[in-house]
Amino acid sequence: MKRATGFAAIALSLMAVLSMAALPASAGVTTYDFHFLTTGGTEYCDGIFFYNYGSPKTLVDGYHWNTFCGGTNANVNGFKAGVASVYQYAGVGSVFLVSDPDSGNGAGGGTGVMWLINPTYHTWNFYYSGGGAGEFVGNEGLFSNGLGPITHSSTSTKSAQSR
Amino acid sequence: MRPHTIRLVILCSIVLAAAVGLQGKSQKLPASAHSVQDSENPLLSRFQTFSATVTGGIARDHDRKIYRSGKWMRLDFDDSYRVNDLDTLEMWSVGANRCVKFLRPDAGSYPFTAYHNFKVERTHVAEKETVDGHVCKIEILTLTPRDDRPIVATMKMWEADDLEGFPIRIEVSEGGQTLTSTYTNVSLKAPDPQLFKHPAKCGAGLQLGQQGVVKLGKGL
Repeated sequence: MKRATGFAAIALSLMAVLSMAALPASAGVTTYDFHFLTTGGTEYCDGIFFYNYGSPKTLVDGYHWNTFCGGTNANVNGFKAGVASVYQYAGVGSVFLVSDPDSGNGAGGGTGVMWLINPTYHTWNFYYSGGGAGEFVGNEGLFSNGLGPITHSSTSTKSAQSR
Repeated sequence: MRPHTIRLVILCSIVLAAAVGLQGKSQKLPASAHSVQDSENPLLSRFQTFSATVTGGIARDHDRKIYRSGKWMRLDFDDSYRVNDLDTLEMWSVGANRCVKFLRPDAGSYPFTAYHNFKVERTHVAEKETVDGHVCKIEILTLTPRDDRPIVATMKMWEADDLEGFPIRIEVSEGGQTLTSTYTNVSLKAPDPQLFKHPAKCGAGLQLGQQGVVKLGKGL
């Protein structure tokens, strides 16, 4: 009887540990929500909201808000990973690599956009896809992240992507 | 005539007929067009100096000033400018208090910096069209990489007769999408060389490892 109780306790403990590991720990989730700013600190009309979560904490999921100042959002996602500084705007180390489908341009499938957001240096830049023939630099700038979600509006009439 | 001479004449005739037949099969272009191979994108080899206003392209630019002088191409922004090296595809973004160098060109230089070192097949269409008041010849470039990347891009250019063939409208189609760039206020005069000045080494403004905007709270 004692032995059976012991096994049950171990099994329960194991299940508890496993279930805790499977759930995203709310304390480990970081919210990002900010306006894209120019390199001089002036606000663009659009911004980005996303959660950084997971274990390891490298998952990114959220949306690019007020895209092209049009009042619509585009769902975005990605990962946190190291990127060589030569590809960043004045940043070093890990960045949030965020894929944005809303930069669709022209007839057809649209042009891919990849944002590099450095949470340590508060810098961002993005690249346009060249369809396999080489990427193009889109824009770069700064950001500041507050305590939580912000109002997704702006008096600015220029988006980070319309430069 | 000797028998072997007759056989030789017959053999040559067969070879000639076969060659003509094959040539006919490979010509899929309309009778009004002709096609030539070129080792270099004429966008780069021609139009060495110009200034214009560009709209459209990969970055949806709108009335952005663009300048070219040889291997340098500049684009103007509100409080900065960008200089692209058309040979290396490097780019310097220069503002009043900052400078940053990128290893890739600015999107506004598209399509001049696209399909770098690709093979080019040029097709001239006999018909002309008028665009923005300019009578234009039409040329279609087919661009393919020199390696095994499965990319085929076509670039349709409307080349203005009164601007020495400068393409005032360029449509690039690749992978099921089409991007259009239009150029207005075109001048083929050489721009002021001062426009392309940029620091050899960026040394002012926000630098690598320098904090951008101070965080406001614990969000980071």
